[in-house]
Amino acid sequence: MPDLDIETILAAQSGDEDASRVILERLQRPVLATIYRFLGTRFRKDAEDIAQDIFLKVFRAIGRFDPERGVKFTTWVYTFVRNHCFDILKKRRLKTTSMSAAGEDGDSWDLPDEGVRQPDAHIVNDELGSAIREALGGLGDDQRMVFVLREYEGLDYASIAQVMGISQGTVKSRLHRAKETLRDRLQPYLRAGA
Amino acid sequence: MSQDRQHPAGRPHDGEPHDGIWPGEAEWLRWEPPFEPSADFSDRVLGAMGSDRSTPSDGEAKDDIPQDDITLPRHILDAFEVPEPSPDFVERTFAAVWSDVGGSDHTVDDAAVGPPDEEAWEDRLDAYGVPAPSASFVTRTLAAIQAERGGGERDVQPPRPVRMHVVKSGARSGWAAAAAAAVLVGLGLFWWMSNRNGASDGPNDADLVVQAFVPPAADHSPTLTAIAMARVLDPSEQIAAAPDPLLLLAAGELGR
Repeated sequence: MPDLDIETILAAQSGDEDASRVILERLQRPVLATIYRFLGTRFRKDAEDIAQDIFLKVFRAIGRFDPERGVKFTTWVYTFVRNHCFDILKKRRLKTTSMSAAGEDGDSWDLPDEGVRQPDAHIVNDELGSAIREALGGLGDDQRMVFVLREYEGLDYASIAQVMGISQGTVKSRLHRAKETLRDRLQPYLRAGA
Repeated sequence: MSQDRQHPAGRPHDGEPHDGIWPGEAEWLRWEPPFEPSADFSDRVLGAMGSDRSTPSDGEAKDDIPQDDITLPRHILDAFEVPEPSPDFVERTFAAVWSDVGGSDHTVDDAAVGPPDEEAWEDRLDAYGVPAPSASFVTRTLAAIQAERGGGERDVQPPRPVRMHVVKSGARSGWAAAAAAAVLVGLGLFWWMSNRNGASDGPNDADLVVQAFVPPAADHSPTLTAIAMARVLDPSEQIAAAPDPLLLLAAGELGR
């Protein structure tokens, strides 16, 4: 996603209404999509309220954003998204299914057993969507956020590292493990696609 | 583990305080712990602590950890679709942001916001569910009713009669009439004493009292006074209609 131009950001920092609206319109979809994909469907009804809270925080703090520090504005906003979503999970004590537990107990997954059947073509979209949602939900919070930022939002490693507060090497290793897990979980669909 | 470590108390040590029973501090520090955790102990503990089990084994970019080299098919990832923002999301959020940051001249565009989402309210109401009665609720309740009925076949008690407020009559009403008559006589006597020396130029005390309660335009005619007296003296009116102090005062004219 192309970053917002510096003039718009500076204008919003000075309280310009139009510039603020431009920022909001530009970022509404990626912010909502990240919330939705990271928190999962159980937060579907709350996604817009959560996004609104995040934008409130962003605009309260927009005066502190310093373009000279080499951080993209969108990356800065994703930091708010990440922190707010992690806070929500922490407060609601949402328990995510761990991949290692699933590996020990395959019955906890709704995916079809290997070799039993292949996804039918006419229902593959719904089933695939459900499968990828559940597979993502089975990842750990850090892995899931890294994966969503990389694969869905298109952030580069450096930006993800800034959002997550980790090194780029850790970003890569978490991405690798997340994809490894998803590949195992989505094996029937990968074979069908091949 | 060596034999002297298992029995250190009597082992001599050069240059260290040793009481012959307990080892010195330097000797404690040289000992190996009685047992060591297995190599994967810390990994297992850390893995059990957090919801993100990948964290302890990420290796923080160690060389032996494979990098991001797996490519998942795009069509699979794209199957995770997300809903579009509501048409009024920007307007609502902008109104909230603008009021929060102190902007004062922004007004919400009602046309852009549109009507309230009734379905959203229904969803929220549906989410506020109540638990269904337990499966044994009816059975337990019926059993309790049966037990109570079989416990003594008690007669059904009639409802407790409600005591209605009734007007007092008889002796009490007689006392009330006597008290009202005494007040009347007292007022008349007061008026008569204040006027027995003849009419004066200004109003006397009784007139002032009466005028204080009766509007100037009030009818001071003997007819009104007679009606008031009749009401005061009629026993049937004494309780149903409380003595009117204005009329009682006006009735003092009779004693003139």
